[in-house]
Amino acid sequence: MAVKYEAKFPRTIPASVNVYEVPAPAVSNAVLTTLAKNIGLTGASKTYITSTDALGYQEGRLSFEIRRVSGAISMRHEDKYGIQTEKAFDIPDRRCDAIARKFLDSAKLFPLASAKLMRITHLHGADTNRKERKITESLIDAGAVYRRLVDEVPVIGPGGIAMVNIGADAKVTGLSCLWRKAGKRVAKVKILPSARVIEAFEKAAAQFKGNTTVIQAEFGYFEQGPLDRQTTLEPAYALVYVVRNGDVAHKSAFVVNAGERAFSKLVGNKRFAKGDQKLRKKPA
Amino acid sequence: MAEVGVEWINDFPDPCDQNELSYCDETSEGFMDGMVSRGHTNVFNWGNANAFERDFRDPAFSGDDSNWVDAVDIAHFSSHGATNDSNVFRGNFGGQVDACRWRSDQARFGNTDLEFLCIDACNSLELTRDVIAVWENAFHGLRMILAFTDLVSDSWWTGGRGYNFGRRAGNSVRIKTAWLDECYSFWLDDNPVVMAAGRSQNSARNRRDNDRFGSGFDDIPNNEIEWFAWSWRD
Repeated sequence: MAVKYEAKFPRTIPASVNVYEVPAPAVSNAVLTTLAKNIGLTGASKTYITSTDALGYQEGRLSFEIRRVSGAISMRHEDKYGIQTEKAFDIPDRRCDAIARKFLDSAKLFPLASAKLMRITHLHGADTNRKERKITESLIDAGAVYRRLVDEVPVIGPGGIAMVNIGADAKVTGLSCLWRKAGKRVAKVKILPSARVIEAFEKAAAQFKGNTTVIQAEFGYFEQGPLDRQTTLEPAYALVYVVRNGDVAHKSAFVVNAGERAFSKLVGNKRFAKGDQKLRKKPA
Repeated sequence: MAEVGVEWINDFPDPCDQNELSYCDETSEGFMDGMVSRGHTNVFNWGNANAFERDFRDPAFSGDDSNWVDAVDIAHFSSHGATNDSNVFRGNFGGQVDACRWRSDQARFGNTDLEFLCIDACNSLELTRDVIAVWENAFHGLRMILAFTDLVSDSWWTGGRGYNFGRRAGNSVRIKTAWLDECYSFWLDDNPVVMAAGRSQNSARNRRDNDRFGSGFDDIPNNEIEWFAWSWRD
């Protein structure tokens, strides 16, 4: 079955891009207390939380966490983050962007010039009486999502992203940020033509049962998620696709190195899967 | 400490033929690892042909959930799924003991033990359907369903959402916050949803926003549920 394309790669893709080393993340209490000070707290609380995968710091009602492997940082207001209040959220997107930028500017986690607003998302709340089924829906917060740019090239993937949450009182209630430092330049690589990716994908898609539709086609630096140690920041092509087979559908991504030379794998081994199981006895 | 059970399916041979998935083991077993890393108890982990549809079906429909999914505090299911226009969710299995798919209209959770049900499958709390019609009869002491609207990705890059949710839920973070934060993907447009039951509007909202392990919320019998509240990010 032919693949249907609802999205295509950008028309202008650079002929070559730099590849950067990514140093191990700085993971320490000081990172968290510095962030706390930057956003107006004292940084002097004595409440630290240590676990095998993260460090935490709490001051007042704000909790901060940094993941050891990736350096992903989060901040949550314990009483406000994600909680529906009497006051409905009605802050326009432009003001949300301004509030979030001011917060990010003070937080100093990354240069603001390297961030591009992608979208203002919202946390929605809804409820209904079981009998009457009249649904009441309202907004609970805004999540301003910023994507990273490196040398004006967008960063794609689960990392290279920051979300600032803003509550109905126009105060920042949360932050999620995975923005690895780009270290020294290790190479400049030529970019492979996107047609090669399409060819490889269509070969893989020929095995699927049902109809395949590409819903996103992206080129950019690829940044991994919060569970992964990344050593280089290098270019990739990504296709996000949906396969529909009768009433069942699934969505996945096809990601490949875009440089003539690849420095690291973009797909790793499974992190948690335990492998085959001993056969369970079926009931009589 | 909570008792935890997971069932996941990557392989769908005949007679339950579907496209294979790749990371349902990663998602469910990662969730288990996250919970266990915070001191909770692994009660069962059934994958592929070892996952049985009857483990989710209530004894009122000749199922066996009171020995499996309804016998733990939190269960995690990762597979294909879909909600049809008759407002019935169906989750796919890779082997047929009685049936290849479990149905939401044969689910009665919490009449034994289950408090939180995580469904890592497409269209499992599908907001374009009538979510109350789909799930209201499944709440028999069940406090919350954690699921997805629209399609959810099966990929290596988002396969860690199970672990990331489990470590936070297991740390007694609010269940809603942990699920919506860790399962949301801006990049792949994954949209998680949570739904809670309550005796009143305030009770349903309060439970949706604040329930967590050790919260002290009681289990509500189905005939005392008056309201449902749900939440999602997009």
